[in-house]
Amino acid sequence: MLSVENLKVVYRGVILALDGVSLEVGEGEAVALLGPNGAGKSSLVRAMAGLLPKFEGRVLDGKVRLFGQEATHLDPVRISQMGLTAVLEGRPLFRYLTPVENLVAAGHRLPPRELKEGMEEVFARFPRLYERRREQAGYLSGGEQQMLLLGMALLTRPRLLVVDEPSLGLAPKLVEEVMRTLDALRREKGLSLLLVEQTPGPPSASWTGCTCWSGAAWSSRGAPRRPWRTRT
Amino acid sequence: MLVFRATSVVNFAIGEFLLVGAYLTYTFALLLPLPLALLAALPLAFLFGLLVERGFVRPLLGRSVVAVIMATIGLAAALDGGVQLLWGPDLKYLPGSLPDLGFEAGGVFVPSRAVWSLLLALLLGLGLLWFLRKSRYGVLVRAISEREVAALALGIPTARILAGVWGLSALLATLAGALLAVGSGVGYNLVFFGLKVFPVAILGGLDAVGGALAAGFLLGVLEALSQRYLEAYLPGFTEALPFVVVLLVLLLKPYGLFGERQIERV
Repeated sequence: MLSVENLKVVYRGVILALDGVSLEVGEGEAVALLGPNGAGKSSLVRAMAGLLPKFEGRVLDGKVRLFGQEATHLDPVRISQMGLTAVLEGRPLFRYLTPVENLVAAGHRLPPRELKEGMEEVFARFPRLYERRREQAGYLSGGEQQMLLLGMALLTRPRLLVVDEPSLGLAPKLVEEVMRTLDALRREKGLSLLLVEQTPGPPSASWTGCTCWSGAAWSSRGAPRRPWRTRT
Repeated sequence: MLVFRATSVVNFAIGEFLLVGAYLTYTFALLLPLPLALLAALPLAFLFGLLVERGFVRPLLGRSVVAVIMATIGLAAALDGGVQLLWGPDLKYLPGSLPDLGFEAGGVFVPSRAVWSLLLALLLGLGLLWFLRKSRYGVLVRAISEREVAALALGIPTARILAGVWGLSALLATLAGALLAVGSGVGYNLVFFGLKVFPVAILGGLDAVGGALAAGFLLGVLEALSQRYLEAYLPGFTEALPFVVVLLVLLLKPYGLFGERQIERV
């Protein structure tokens, strides 16, 4: 349902961040994309979500296909409508809004009734969020913020969820909880999942595929030439 | 101020928005009774705001905020000229008037215009507050203003919503312009009322609607007092007073009296 072919990404016309990356995520699969700092993982996420122009970047070459359609140069709004939701790195929630408002913003496409039901579902899944639903989201703990982000992603009604480094800055126990939640969501909602991380997560996550950038394939520029793919 | 809140662009052409709105109302008022003319002018004003966004702000998207601010200053100058070309430099008076709401209380006569201003200001202020705080659209505006990329990643159509904000801002300015015009006629002097917006907005904190209401009230009272007691000694001081007050307040409270401080937590 998502296929990336030979993708090349540049920033400001000169900085080559990705040099021919390919990747595939199938229906209902959970694929982990692993790579060290600076490997270009986040660039790939931005490219898939159509957000490169916001970072002064663009796709130089290659293709992104989404649910069988060409999606390389589409704008983020269109991509989101097609069913890809990317949770960017660095906890991209609205810190001055309350959790409730964050969820309202995320569920902007839903009719009022469905939004209300969706919010109740999120709060049922994450009771801690419900307790703090009227505080500014900036004051939530890291774990709570991550849960809120997952809830927000759910309210965009995705078919494919891309999550960029959800474990960053979280205690191991919380990381495990996030992974468990993601896995549960995948099974319950029939989502496909692409998880971007620096290191393999705890074994609780049941991956159907894993794409890693192998150390041997690094180009001289420090950008990966070709990821390889293993199936578990 | 709404525009600043949503886009962090200070719109220096707000006085001209007022002016254009007032002239639009005036033009319609030649054909229609005044309240209807105002109603007819509002959609046009909204459209005017959209056009400004499309023409002057959208092309500069991604450039520094200063570039956009400079563009609004240029726009202000262009509109000043354009309005005079179109409607002529002489003062126009609106035909017809709003229902008389003036009354006398305890020996003080409260003119109809003051009652209308207060009513409308309260209504608009509260309306705007509700709009930003409670409505779904307002939540989106605040979300975009805080973190545009995150909003985009959620599929929020940011460009369309921000354009709407410019339209809305032009619409509100038209209401204010028309109200001023009823009392003092439509002429270039309306721009100065637009300029007065800045001390009020800065004093209240550029991002706080409730604060702006309070600050507007405070500055209004100060101005009236100065007019009555200081004008004899310092002629013309009243005009400068709001700016002096702003300067003093900003020295002590850089975010304005009611501005939000930023949360710094990672």
